[in-house]
Amino acid sequence: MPDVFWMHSNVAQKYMENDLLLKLNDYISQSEDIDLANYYEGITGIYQLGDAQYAVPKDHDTVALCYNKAIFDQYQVAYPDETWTWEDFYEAAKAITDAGQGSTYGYSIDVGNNQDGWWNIVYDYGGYVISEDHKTSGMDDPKTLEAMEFLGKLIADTMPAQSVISENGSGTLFTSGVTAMTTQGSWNINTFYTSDNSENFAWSVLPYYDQNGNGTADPGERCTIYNGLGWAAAAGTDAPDAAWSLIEWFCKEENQVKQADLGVTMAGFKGASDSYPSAFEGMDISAFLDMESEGTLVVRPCSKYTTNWETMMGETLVGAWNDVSTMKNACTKIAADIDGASPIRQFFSITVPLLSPTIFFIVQTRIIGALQQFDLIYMVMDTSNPALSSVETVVPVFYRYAFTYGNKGYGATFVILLLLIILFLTVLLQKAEKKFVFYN
Amino acid sequence: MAKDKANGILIHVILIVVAFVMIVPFLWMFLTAFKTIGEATSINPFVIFPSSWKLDSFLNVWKNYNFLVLYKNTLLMIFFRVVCAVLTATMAGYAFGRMNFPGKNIAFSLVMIQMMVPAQIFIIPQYVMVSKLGLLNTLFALVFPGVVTAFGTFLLKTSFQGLPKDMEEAAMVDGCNYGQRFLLVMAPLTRSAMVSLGIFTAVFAFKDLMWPMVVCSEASTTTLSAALAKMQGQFSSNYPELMAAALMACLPMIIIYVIFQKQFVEGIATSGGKL
Repeated sequence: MPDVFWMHSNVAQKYMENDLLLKLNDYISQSEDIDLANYYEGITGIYQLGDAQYAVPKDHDTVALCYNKAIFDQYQVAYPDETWTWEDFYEAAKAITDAGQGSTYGYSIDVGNNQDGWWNIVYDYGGYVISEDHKTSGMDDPKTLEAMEFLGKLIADTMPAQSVISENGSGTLFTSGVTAMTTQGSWNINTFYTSDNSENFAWSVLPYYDQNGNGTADPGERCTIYNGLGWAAAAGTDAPDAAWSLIEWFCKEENQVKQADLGVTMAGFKGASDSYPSAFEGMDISAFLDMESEGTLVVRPCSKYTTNWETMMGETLVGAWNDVSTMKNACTKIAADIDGASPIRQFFSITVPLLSPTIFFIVQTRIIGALQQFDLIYMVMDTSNPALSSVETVVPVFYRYAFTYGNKGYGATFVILLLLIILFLTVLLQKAEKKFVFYN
Repeated sequence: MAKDKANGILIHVILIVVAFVMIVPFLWMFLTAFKTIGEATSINPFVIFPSSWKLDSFLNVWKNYNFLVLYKNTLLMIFFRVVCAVLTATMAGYAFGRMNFPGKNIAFSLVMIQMMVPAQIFIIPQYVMVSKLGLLNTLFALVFPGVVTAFGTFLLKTSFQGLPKDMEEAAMVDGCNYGQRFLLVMAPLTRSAMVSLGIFTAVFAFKDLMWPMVVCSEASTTTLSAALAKMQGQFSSNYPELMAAALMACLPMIIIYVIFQKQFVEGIATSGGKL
């Protein structure tokens, strides 16, 4: 491991639980430049385990809506603004899709658009993906299901076919003018800023969902999933003090401001990102900062096995994305898979199948080893023992005839017989292997 | 938290019981070696400890058998078998894993077939070879079947194949020939496989009973295991002396184990074998 590196929420839990990261608490408490209260709580929290702090936030990101003004003008649809609810979004996207007659669509996301796509809608509806204690899934929560039903409507009425989206990617579909809107994270701004027709693109805050029906976006109704890298050091580093001073330098206010100023990314230090939009001359990206002032930051759902369930989630949702009527089933299945089973069921359905190659190998070598047993029987059963003939196996008999009685030809017959028995068993075991052993 | 603690205690209780079952035969051997014949064969199951810690059995065994020669024979056999097996298996493993030559697949199938066939098949031909050479009752006879090893060739071949090609290519670019690439670059990287193989070979050589009995029947040339088997016939009722001899025979392996404990455990973990 390097001494100092970026940590990501996908794997942080695993690294922390295995004590691979340097504990920073003492350094932080003695530092003049670093006070964790100045950083985004959610990101600080990602790198916390119990009381221990293992990384200092490097940056953070938010999600906003990008739209193509040319398409909106062409079909005479009003531009998105902060008053839009997801219903308004749906109406506009549907109007464009209907008028576009198969060549232009309102919106597109694929199953892989989690943080910058459907997760935001789930939280706007009051649902959740992973519980706050990182232990259970909210994919079968009624509010999540409501959001997913709405998503189904979006998929059916406002998007190109999933095969088209997955082949091209929703970003490319947008930049090439096939779709009128896309939801994108701040880490992708440059793709759109440097695009050929970037003069047509504009950013707006994400729509909200009016949970309480009062007509305004209240806290929790306009969510943006946010995430951020953290600067961490290896637990086994030879120079912990030097590693910390580098982390401290990267994370202190002055350099966090510089990071935003240069347009690298938005800072992990609260309030240090104000100059970030000015790095993109000619394009107004202040919507990303507005998402913070007008919306609610929701930290990216993660757990110890984030990459595992995220992959599973994507694979399970492919079916629902292609046939939205199966959306509810897919969500319930994802929840059941994440929440998993009782320890006993886990043992028999996961641990044993994963160990089965090893178990099988041991069974095989032990069976063959037992057939070749010699020393135990030879040592324990004296030749004068009357029970000898009842417990003798092939190899001791072979030894007795070949060397004690000196009849090598007769003795050799026994080992040839043993060879045939082992060959026969090996064939049987190979057949059994195909049936019982699980190879990933 | 309380549940974790209860689980921890439960797991430890199970482990302690299993560990106890494992160690009982060894304790029995140790305790019996100090007992009198009467105590050792007593029907009363509660005679666990000897009444006095006498060394008589050890002294008798030491007097009647030349243990120094047995130790020497056994250790020399282990040493030569380990050196030969590691040397030949590493070279053959490199050739099979990293070089291309005509007939490679056929040659390797022959190695694999040898691995699948029970070892006892080879004992009679090997015995005939050694005896026709007139080398019965020599150190050469003891080492002979362990000079090459199909299992070791296979283990080292897999180990060489697991190494990234880039290293060898880098060495090639730097102008190393086959020999330098093997000796300076590749072989050192398979050290853990070599250590596993060495330990396997040592343990199997130490435990090997049939071969020393077949080729070295004389007391001056045989190994600990074969000598012990012979004593079993003579002392069939004298358990204390038999156990004293067994305990003394165990010593070299216990010492080797204590020294190479880490490698033993790693060896089992890397090759998945049982010693």
